[in-house]
Amino acid sequence: MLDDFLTHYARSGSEFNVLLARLFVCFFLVWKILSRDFGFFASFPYEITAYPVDIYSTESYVFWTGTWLITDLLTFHWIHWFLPPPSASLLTGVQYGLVSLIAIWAIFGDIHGKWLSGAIYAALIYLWGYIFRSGQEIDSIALYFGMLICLILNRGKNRPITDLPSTYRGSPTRFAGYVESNMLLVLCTYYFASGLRKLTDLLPWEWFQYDLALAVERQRIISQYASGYAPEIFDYLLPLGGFAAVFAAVVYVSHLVIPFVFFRRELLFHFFLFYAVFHFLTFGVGISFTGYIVVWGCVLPLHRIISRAERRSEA
Amino acid sequence: MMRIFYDGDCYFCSRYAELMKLKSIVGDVELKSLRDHPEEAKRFEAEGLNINNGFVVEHDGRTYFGADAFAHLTQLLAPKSFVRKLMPGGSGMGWWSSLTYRLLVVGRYGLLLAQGLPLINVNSTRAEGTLGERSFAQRGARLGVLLIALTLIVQAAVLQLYPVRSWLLFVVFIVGFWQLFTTRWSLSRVEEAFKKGPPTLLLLWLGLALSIIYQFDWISVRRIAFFGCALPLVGVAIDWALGKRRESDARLSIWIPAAVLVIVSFPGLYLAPFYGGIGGWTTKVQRDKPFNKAVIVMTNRKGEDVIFNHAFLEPMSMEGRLRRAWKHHDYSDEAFLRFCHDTYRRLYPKITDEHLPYQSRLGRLAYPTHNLSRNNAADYSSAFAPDEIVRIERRRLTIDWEGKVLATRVLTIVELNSQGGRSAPQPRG
Repeated sequence: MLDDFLTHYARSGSEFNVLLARLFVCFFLVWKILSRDFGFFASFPYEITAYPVDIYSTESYVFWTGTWLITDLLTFHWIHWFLPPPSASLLTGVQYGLVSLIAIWAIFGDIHGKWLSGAIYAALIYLWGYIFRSGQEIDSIALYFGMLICLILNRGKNRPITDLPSTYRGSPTRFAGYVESNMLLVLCTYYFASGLRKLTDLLPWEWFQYDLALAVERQRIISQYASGYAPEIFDYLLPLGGFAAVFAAVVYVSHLVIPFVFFRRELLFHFFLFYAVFHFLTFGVGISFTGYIVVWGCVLPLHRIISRAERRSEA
Repeated sequence: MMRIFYDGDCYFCSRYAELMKLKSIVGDVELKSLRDHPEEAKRFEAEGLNINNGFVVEHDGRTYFGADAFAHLTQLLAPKSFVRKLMPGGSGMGWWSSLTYRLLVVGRYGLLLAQGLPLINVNSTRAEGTLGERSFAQRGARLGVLLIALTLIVQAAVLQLYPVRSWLLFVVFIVGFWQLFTTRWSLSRVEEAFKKGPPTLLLLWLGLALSIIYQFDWISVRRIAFFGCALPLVGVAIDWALGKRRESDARLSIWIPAAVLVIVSFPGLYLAPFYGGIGGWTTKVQRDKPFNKAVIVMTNRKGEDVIFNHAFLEPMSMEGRLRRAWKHHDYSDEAFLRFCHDTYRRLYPKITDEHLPYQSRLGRLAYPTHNLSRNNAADYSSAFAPDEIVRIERRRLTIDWEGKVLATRVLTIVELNSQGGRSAPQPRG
């Protein structure tokens, strides 16, 4: 199996796919950043924190390595050990500056090396560091950071958007293959880790104790009195009753088998459909994982899909 | 000619042998690791020397062992040598030198434990070109067994959960570890089975791992035990990568499987922005019991109520998390509610009939909040302008499954002054 891993890892890939992946990532990041106001973090004392290690109790999912030291180092918030925290205006400035950098990178790709994408990563992790330090978890963004790092580490050049036609017609390349494999590894590792967490955190019979219909019903009732919300369409799930408890178990199994997708990439589209439905269903319990539906665009074999559609239309 | 026989896998032993720089003093010095020369190890065992409690020096026709060997070498050094100062007393050992050497032996045991290495095995039959008991797979297995034993003792003695079962299992695992450490038990066949057998053996490993981790009650402890179970697999991946490294086209990618295994199994991993996967959860409500929901409510001068939408606190759009941060730093609920009102006051100009503040740039196309929020922008009419708010409360609603509120309990109440004043910490800039 390990030798197979190397074989599949080193497959050639399409620069067209890599370019599109970059556009997906940039689109999502701009979408999310423009829907948030990071100046908010200047409205309360910088010292008010709940680092990841503080979020859960010791007997629960404690994040042992989510300490202030490691988190501040990795999010560049160590600069505030020496410098005062920024004002709301400065944070908003960083936010808009980041949007500009992302837009430039989306259009022009790498300009004289990786400094642009490196700056994007630094600004992004700095802004999201406020979120992580304040007690919120990954906020549906861990996968995007992973994809971003894969693109930054692309040993080939991230090409400008004007190269879309030429990359579509071009031959597969080794470096593009590495990027595709890395992005798929990010996806598989994230979901597989979640699957293993289900094994460690839940006893076997507890796999069937998440009653989705009940959770949806509760959320629908809550939305009458609180600001939480679940779309009305999920009322159709309510008649399922206890049978809906099977859905969670099916999802957990899918997490455990997702590594197969790395070796059998023809299954990617099928897994995408499954995970799109799964992440859509989480809306029913009032949780948005919109980004994790879009992120599959980074790993789908879009070049093959589009060229197949093109051939069919020509035929 | 001097020959020194030592444990080549003991870091300090190896460094000591180099440090001594005896060549300049005694001429030819031959260093032999007893792990690579089991025939020499057998010879010394036959002479009654326990080679795991000391090293051996052969010099000028005499054999020195352990502390005597240490003293003999020390005497050959210059008087100002640091090592010699550790072992004073001329040709005799003295109690201090004897104690120092014993501590070094204990240190070596500790170092071997930490590396997952066993004691020297005089019956070692390592095949040519393999690492044998020094393979990372076997090291992972030893360390995994030790970690599980330590986790059991934590459950038994510290957490005091299931003490009888935990202590019994601890004894089983610690005895198992000792057998592995002292090489009475060999892992070579198991290692070969995993490395060359079918992938379905992983299912067997999984079954064994689950049967171990389900002995633990706390999730955090189960995850530690699972990491112990995963260490042998990490070792297999490292051994594979080391084997590949010798090939001409080896790249960084050979280390990916080992890295992935560590990421998915390390307990409580959180290296921003990455973490070790979403934890498992179950439904905690039952249809035959009502459930509770905490809400923040603002009341205006007319006594009308409006919900404080958690979307006002975006980017912190996971409900309840920001309040938890405030409480973590001993700020009162009252202070948090005043902060909520201040935030509402600050954002009020951005609320339109159709859009909440986070939708001010992209409208309805804005990326949703993590916990979905109702778009109740129209509720915040002029009747609920910030200056009209006289009170902000945190309430707990008890609701039945028919959607009826059975009880309302006010948890925290903050009366605002006639100007809807603030006393929360002021924003910067």
